Amino acid sequence: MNPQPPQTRRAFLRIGSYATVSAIAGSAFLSACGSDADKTAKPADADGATKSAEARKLTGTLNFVNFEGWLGANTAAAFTKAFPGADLNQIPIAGTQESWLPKVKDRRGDYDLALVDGATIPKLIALDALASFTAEEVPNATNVDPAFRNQAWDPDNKYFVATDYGRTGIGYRKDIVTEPITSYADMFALLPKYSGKVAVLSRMGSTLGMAMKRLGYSVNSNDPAEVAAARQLLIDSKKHFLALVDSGSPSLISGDAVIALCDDYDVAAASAENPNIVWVDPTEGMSAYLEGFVALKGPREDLAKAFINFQAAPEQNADFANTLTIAPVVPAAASLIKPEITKSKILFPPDDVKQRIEFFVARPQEGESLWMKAWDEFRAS
Amino acid sequence: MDEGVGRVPRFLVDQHARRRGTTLWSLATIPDLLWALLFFAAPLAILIAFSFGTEDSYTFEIDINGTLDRYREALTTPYLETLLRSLALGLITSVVCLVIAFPTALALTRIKGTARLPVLFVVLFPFVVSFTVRTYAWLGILRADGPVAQLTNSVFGQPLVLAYTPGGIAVGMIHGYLVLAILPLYAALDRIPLSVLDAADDLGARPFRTFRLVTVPMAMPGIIAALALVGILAIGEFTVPAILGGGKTLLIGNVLAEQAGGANQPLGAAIAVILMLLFTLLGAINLLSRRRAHRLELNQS
Repeated sequence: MNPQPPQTRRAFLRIGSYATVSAIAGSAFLSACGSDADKTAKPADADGATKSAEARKLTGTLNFVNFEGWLGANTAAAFTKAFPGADLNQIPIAGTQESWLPKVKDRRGDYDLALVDGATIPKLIALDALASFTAEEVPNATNVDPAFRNQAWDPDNKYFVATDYGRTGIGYRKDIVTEPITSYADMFALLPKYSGKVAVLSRMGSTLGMAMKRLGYSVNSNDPAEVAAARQLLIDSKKHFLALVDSGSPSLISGDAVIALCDDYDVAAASAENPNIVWVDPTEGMSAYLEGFVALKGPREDLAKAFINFQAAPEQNADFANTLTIAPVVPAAASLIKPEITKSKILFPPDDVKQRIEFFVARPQEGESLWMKAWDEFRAS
Repeated sequence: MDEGVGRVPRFLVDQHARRRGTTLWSLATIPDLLWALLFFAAPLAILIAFSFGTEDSYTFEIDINGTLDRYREALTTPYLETLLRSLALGLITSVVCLVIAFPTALALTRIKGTARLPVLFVVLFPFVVSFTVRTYAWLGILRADGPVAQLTNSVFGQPLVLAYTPGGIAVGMIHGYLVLAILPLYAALDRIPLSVLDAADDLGARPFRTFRLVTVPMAMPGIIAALALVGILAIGEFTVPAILGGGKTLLIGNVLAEQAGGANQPLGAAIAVILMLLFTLLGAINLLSRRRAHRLELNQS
């Protein structure tokens, strides 16, 4: 699998009340599983006094760059309990992950830990910002589903441990849109009828990627003609778009939009609130992302690695999934996940859908410039 | 009495003392000059240097190689259209703000005694609330199920939905910047002596003639300040388009924020330099025209 392009999202956490409900439910669930939480309070596969002594040595405040609220509800407290003297200072990513990267260059050593997508790994390597780790340092990394390990951008698993993944497709209101939607072609055909009621995402990769898929191209294509065709399709359709939104579901819930380009976890949460909101895996295929933690070079990189290891424990990955209504990447976490998540057909797609997923790869500089210019031309049109 | 003073004329001693005093006072400005050099001139020089460079999008290293490509980029599609759109929106915003703010400020100056302060407070109170919060409030008012759409639907049979349109952005910017037009206008209008207006009245000028020939010219510094304050900020605005424009209307402030934020810092720098030159040019034109008008006035008198 491959990484995704720069993403700006998670705004739903601030906007949607369902997220709050989900977080409370997640907390309640884990509170009920008190003994399990206690287990996670120990460092990875804790085996007694030696490990505890090691944990006590790792102290300090981890400066953790993350999307606001994108963490298990109990994780920070459990980590502090497992590592006395250590705590988390979460630094929210404002805008895209791209906008945070120049700060890594200018404030080397100020950041210790980050949630990143794959597309940023080559850049972080080029910046010489990543702290590599060994299998012994992060033993829990082997808990992660093999499908999310040995990525092209980290073949030796020495920088990245996956935390979550998802795909971008279509969400729509079946109580208002009576026509069946199975593809991006259907969605674009319905634009004139539902003009001004169709929302697309404010993320370049997702929305331009949607147009690429509609035209039968790869979301990783850097062919100028293909990118230009996708840009033109978006420009021609722009008059029908309601807005470029951070998250599709709030506009579907409010009724401002009846069709929206959405992330799977977003629709999974929204459909629990309003069953008329349904999810479509477009037949043309769809883009997907894989996110994970990296440790950054600096005075606290050992503590950062300890956190990454801690987070890859089944209990913590379950807390993550339960809090955010996402699919876990640690198979052993499945038994700790809320049934409404594990039963979700949106979050756990069938094999034929999985085959249509295309993960983004990091673009070469020329490709990146090409996509960014096309995106700006669309927005400026 | 000092002997030396007796040999030197008194006025020269005074002049010398004044010079020495001036020199001492000049020394007091050194910290301010250093501050300006460090935090204005130096960053500005770096910004200008960056605008002639090329960025490696992986390492964010900027090679200042003297290229003009960033300026070419900034002055071609899609950024030129974005710049022109921003200028138009900035002009509309500043003119509408002026039209709304002028009568408001004039009315405030006409309120007598202690009643003025509470009225001024009421006029300015909404602006105590955060700019972003107010902009989000406008989204609620202008959206499809908002009061504006409901009202226009019931009156005209057609809802007016301004959310996520350039019109919505203009509404948000006009409201957001109105206070910046009211305050300088109020200050300028309040300085006009009532005796001057009474004189015009006594000489037979009708109210509109007095307004046109006395009030407006005397309030000109406030008008120019209002237009400049609102215009400059509106042209570079990026919060309102993001919220009320739904990301669909790209303005130069958004481009600047994204590019200078890391996407392409040299391009962001080139856009910033272009905007700076534009504002400097407008300022220079304004200054020259005012000087010319002043000279004409002197000649006429």
